This record gives sequence, structure tokens and C-alpha cells, in this order.
Amino acid sequence: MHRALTNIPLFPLSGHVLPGGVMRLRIFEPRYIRMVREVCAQDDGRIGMCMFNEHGSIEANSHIHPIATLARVIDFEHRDDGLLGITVEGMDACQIDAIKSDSDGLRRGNVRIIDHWPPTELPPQFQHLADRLCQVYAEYPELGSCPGDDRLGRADWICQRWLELLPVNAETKQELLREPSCERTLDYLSGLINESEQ
Amino acid sequence: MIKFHPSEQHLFHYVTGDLTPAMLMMVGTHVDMCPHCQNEIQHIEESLAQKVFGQAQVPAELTEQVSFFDGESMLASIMSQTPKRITPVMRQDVPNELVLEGKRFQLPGTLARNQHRVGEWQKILGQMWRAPVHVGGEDVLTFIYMDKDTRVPEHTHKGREATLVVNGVFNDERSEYRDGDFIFVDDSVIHTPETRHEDCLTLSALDAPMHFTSGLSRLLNPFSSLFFK
Amino acid sequence: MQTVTTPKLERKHMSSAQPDDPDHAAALLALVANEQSRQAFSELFHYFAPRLKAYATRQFGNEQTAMDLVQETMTNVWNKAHLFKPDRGSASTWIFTIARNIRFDFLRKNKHRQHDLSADELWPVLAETNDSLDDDYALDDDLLMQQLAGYCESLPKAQRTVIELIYVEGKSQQEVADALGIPLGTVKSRTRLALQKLRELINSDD
Repeated sequence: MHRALTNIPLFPLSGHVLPGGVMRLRIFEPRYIRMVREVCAQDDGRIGMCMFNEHGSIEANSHIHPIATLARVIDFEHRDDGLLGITVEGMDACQIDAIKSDSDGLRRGNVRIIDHWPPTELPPQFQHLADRLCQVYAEYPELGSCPGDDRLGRADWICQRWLELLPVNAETKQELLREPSCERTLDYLSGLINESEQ
Repeated sequence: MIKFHPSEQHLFHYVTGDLTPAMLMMVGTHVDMCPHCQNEIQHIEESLAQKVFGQAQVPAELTEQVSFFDGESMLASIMSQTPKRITPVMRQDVPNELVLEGKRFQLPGTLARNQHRVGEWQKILGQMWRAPVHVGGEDVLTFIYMDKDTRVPEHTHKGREATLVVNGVFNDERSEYRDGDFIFVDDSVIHTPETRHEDCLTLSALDAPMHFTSGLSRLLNPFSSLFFK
Repeated sequence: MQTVTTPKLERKHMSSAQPDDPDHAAALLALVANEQSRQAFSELFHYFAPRLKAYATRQFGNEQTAMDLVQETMTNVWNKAHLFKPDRGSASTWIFTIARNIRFDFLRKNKHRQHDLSADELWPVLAETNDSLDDDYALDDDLLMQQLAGYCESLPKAQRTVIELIYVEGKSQQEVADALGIPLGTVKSRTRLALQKLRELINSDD
């Protein structure tokens, strides 16, 4: 059974968060301040974190890629620059349709939660994906600390984090996320890492 | 006070329009910000105009060509039009402000007139943001915004890189660069640009990917050969 | 040193001065701008058109394209002479920059590439407004010229200086900031205040 939700506020961005990931954001546009207020007033408020499609049209609402992540707000901060900072956590993968615009430009859509990659053990030949990921965490404190638990042994979790981090275009990410498992992503990432180390 | 300027050749080819689109934007923006180079530009324009229109420069063969030059009919056709006397328009609907992550930046004229070419901002790991500026041509023109205390990983250049400080300060191993400074480096340079107490908005033109010294930076950086463009 | 014979074409309407005399050329442009003087334009045309053609032929190596450039350049001179600002440079420099813009667009026209820059976006030679001014403090030129001078006297000195540099000397706000050694923001706020004051003065006189 696939759960469907209606009228979910959408936040299209060039940075991406996937299920199991967290992302810190600065909120300054009035429509998104309104969105945060609305979501936080609900018990189980969700934001549709979407990938911005730079080849799409903002007028036609095709600037939002269909595969997105339902996220909840897990933290707030008042930043030194006076802006509102929030942290969101990706909960479920979803597919968006029927996008419409509020008068202030906030987009909303109907959302169908899709079965995402099942938990998969990291095959030993891809261990370097986990090692490199720990290195990235060590080098960029803004990502938070590297998890010490079993998530580092899960191929699906590692693939999701890499897809969040890499400056790969959104089309490629959409294609990989449409796959029923993370198998293709493992191969893709492994190829990129090899190339970067040459 | 601006310390670093485009070369005389850059300025000359800016005036004639014979730089790549990305470099025209770079030099044009520097000129917007730099009274010294505005002066230079004026001199170059004057001397080129003198060359084209100066009395002494009329080629001798033109005298013979005059019979082929159907000037009178062209003149008549131009003057048959009623000059369009548009009263100077008071408003100009060009936004000259760039809003990025809630901060506002005043844009110099060249950039303000081309603001519709600025694409989506994208965060790069390490407190940097970038946005492509679509100007056509082979070079890649990009806005780069570095938060304070940010460092671009050490890299060399396979090609040439021009950087212009639009607002703020950054340093590299050789100097400190501020508003309006124009820096041009070729493949002989290894450097590590960084910001300290202030953030910095720059415009940068690259004609080839940067070569990051560390594999991890290559993997995570959109300017590396893995993702260039 | 070799003197070149002036083509006969140019002699027709010639007064004692030649259009290569900057003041004379500027005066001719003013006549075109203010009175649409056909005689003044003919004189400019007979001087500049053949030289433009020689330049364009060298640039394009193609007679027809060269003639198109001449036609388009001189049409702009006829239609837009009011945009020539004598304090910013000579008439021939202005005409050269118009031709440069047209050449730039010609060279790109046939390539049909999606994002190509246009000359006007780089060099706003023929822009109708003074683009160095933000919209909220752009004033109508005529209004300015007629009334500004008198009213300026009643402004505080700091504001008057800024207004004079911008509207009388045609400097950009950035140039004013550099010249006076004050921040751009200060120039902007002084301009805004001064224009507010001027509007009040002008309106109260109506």
C-alpha cells in the first residue's frame, strides 16, 4: 500500500537531501518562512524537499523534478546574520504530482510515498565507498559527525549520502533514484571515485 | 583602491569586442568598478575612432570606390524616417541587486544588465556557493560566493582563470584582493584562495577545469574535470 | 606625409569646418537631435559613411555586410542623436562605439546560439536612460536641465555636491563615491534625500 498525501509544501533546491540525511538551511524568502511556520504548527508536518530542474520552466512548474524527499524539521536556530536557520531530516522518498502555486509563490503538490531502496549490506568490494565517506565527514565539519553505528555498513545509506554530496546533475540522480535498489548507484559511485583518484 | 587590473590587451579587445563572452563580462564588470580603466577605455575608443574616422586615414582606394558607394540613396532612405523621439524613460526595470542566501549585493552595470543570465545557486561543500552565468561561448563564467573563513582546496589550472572581486576580500599565497581587483592566472600557478574575517563574492572565468591536488576535492568539486560545466 | 584627396561626395554641403573637428561634429549632432536637421545629418553622413564602409569592409571582407553596417550605424545616428553626450567623449568616438556594437551583433547573428551576449548588454551606448542611476532617483532630463540649477542652491552643501556631480557632470554614483572618498551608500542616501527635497521644491513652485 502506498501512502498518499495532499497539499504538501514544496521546497525546490539545487542542494539535495535524501531519506536518512540531514540538511541545514537558511530561510529568508517570505514564502518559505510561511512554509516553516505552517509545517511546525502541525503534529506531523512535512516538507517536500525537491530537486530544482534548471531546464524546466518556473511558470509551468516543471522546474521541480518528480522524485523528492519528504522531510521533517528537526531543529531551529537564530543565525548571526539574523536569518532563520532550520535543519531538516529526510524521511521518505516520494513522487510528486499536481503542482500548484500559492499567491506568494510557494508550490504545493500531491505526494505519493514510494518504496525506496531496501536496506542492503555493503558488499566488501565497495568498502572504499564507506572509507572515503568517513574521510569527507572528517574534512568538512559542516556535515556533522560521521555516524559510528551500523549505517556505515549499509550500502543504501552510503549511496544516499554520496548522492547528496556529489555535484552530479539532478537528472542523473533522478535516474539512479528510480532504480528499485542501490545496486546501480554503487557501480556509478565506484566508477567516479576511481576516476577522481587517477 | 583597486590594485589589480586587466592587461592593456584585455582592455583593447574589450573595446573591440574580441574577447570570449565570459572575458567580456569579466573585463566589463571590472571597468564598471574602476575609474582608472574607464579612463583607459575612453582613450582606446578615441584612438580607434581616430583610426577609423581620422581625416588622414581615408584609404586612397576609397576615392575610386565612391562611385560604387550608393551613398545618396542610403542617405535619402535614412532621412525618410521620422526620428524616434522617445522621451527619456525614467524607470529602468533592471534589478541591480543580487540576493544570495538572504544577503544582498549591489551589482555593477554590466552584471545588472545581464542578471537574467544568472542560473540557480548551488552549494558546494565547504561553505561556498556557485551560480553559472550563461553567456555562450566555450569558457565557463561563474559567480562564486565564499563565506568567511573558507578555503578553496589547493589547485592548479589546466587553462586560464580570471577572477574578479565583486564584493568582499579574499587572499591567496601572493596577495590580498578586494572589490574590483582583477586577477588573471595561467597554468603555471598553484594557489589556495581563502577568505578570513569577511565573506567574498567573486566572478570567475575558466577555460578548462581546475586540477585539484587532492582526489577528494576533485570528487566533490564541480570545477574539477569530473564535472566541469 | 601624404595628403589624401577628400572624395568629392563629401564636399557638397561643406561649411568651413569639417566633421573631423570634434566641436563641429558635436554641433552637427546637436542640430540633428534638436531640429532633425537634414543638412547637418547629410554633412555627417558624407563624412562618416564612406569611412565606416572602409572599416566594415576590412572587418567583414564582404561588401553587402559592410553596407548593412553603414546603414544601421547611420540610421542610429539619425534616430538617436539626442543620446550623444558631448561631455563623455567626441562625436566620432560615439559613432565608433555604435558601429562596434553593430559589428559585435552581426558577428553573432548567424550562429543562433542560445545564450549569446548582445552588444547592448555589454555597452549600453544607445540606452535611453542613464543606467548608472537607480530607478527611484532617475529624473527626467528636461526637467533637470531647466530647473535643477536654480533649486540646487537651496540644498545642503553635501547634497548639492553629489547632485551636481551626478546630474551636471554625468558621473556615476560609484565615481562620485571614489571622487569624494565616501561610501557608495552615502552617495545613494544623499542623492535620495536631495531628490526628495528637489521634488518638494519643484512641486511647491507649480
